[in-house]
Amino acid sequence: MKGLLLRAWYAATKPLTLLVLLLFGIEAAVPSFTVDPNESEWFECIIFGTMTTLIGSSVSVALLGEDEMVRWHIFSATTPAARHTYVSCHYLVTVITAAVFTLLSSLASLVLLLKTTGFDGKQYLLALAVISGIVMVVLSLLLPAVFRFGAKTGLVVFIVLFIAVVALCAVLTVMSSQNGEWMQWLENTDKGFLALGIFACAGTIFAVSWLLSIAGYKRRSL
Amino acid sequence: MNGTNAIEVRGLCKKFKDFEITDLNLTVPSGCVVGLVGENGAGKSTTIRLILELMHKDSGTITVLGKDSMEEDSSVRENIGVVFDESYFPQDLTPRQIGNIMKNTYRQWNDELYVKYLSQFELPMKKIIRKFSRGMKMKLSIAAALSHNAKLLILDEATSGLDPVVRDDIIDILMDFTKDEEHSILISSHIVSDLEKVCDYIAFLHKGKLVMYEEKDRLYEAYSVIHCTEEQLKAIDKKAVIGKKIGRFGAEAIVLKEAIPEGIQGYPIDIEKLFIFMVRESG
Repeated sequence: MKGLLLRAWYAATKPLTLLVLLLFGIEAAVPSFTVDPNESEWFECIIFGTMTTLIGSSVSVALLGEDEMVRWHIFSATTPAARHTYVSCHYLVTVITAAVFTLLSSLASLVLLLKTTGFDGKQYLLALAVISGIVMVVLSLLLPAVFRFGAKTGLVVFIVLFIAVVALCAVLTVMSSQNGEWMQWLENTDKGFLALGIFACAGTIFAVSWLLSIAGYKRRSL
Repeated sequence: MNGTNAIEVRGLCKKFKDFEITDLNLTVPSGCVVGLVGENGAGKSTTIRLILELMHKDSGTITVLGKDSMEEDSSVRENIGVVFDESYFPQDLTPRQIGNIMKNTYRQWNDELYVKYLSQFELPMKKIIRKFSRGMKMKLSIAAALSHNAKLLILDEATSGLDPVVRDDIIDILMDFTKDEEHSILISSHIVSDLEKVCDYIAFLHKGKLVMYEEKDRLYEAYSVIHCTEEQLKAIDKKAVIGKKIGRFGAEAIVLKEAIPEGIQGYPIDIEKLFIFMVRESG
């Protein structure tokens, strides 16, 4: 596992990759400095954060694509790092990148909260949960397809999922602007409890996805 | 481990849409070099991939270093060095970084030995692999495969596309490796002359079937090349004729020495000719 993680580290610290990651990092944190305290942009911040986090977190998928291009995944299967270790390594990289980008993205929510209503821990936690939840669920759906069928199929799945997330974000934006029943329900619900629920669901889906990926990758001919 | 065979393949079958490996039996005895020979598409790489569990067999058994499943037992993979037809290392890394990755992958990784090989092969430590020539990339793959005290080397077309000087260097390295009697090699190639230099056993694969598996010296002892007329060739027992080529000026054939009629001169065979004749004979 250490060897595979080191390979991921070397790939992630390549100048070009670093530049791309830095750009997404800045983009994720941009709303922190641009939000208008007179307008409620909390939802917009979350949506913006989700998109950038999603793209940034897919670095592990890009890594898998590169592995397949140079056939490093075939070579690793002949080393003591078994196939399940290879899958686990990529899931770990996914968790790390998702965590970093989620924290950067949630900065926007944090700044908005500080400028408007003051720091509300539960609301901040909810922002974290929504961003990481959506990202983790998308990657949970994506990764088993990549491991079972390869990076080319994974790219198609990623595009489909990305469109689905854009659609979901659009729906959430409309719902938040209408201030209807759904928003009232959100106002009345304990946000801390809701955040924990989202974390738990996303975590469970991610764990199931991890097991599915291991099973799928073991069946795949390399 | 039974102590005698590094690899044992029994009744191996794998079916694809347009190709199949059929009832393949192959043994790599410990301390020996087995050359897997066959034309392009004969099934050499597929066989090696099945042995390495990179793809799943339909039926049959494969035992590597005494273990049935490499996937479940990482100790087997600790003792295997693999070199494919190309370098499968990430192209933006340097040999030093590859060494660091390997150090954290193999428990028995010998970094000093790796550095020694890199120096012997004149490979720069800090140049990215993308800028290497094909020969340099293959040498790097071999250096990595030899630096973790592997007992078994598996090479899949590792010498293809290389110039004769580099190929000869690689053959020398492999011969050095087999000086230790515990070390075994399974090497596939369609460049038969390379295998002829290094192998103890030759396995001929043709259209997914093993058509011959024999000790190399036994092939030299048992078979001869003859030049005769078509009529003289017809008089020889067909079972003794491995392969033949009939032209305007007579016939050339590889036959069992004991079946050569008196008056016809037998000449020593070379494995490449044997291979070509066998493939033609098999159709």
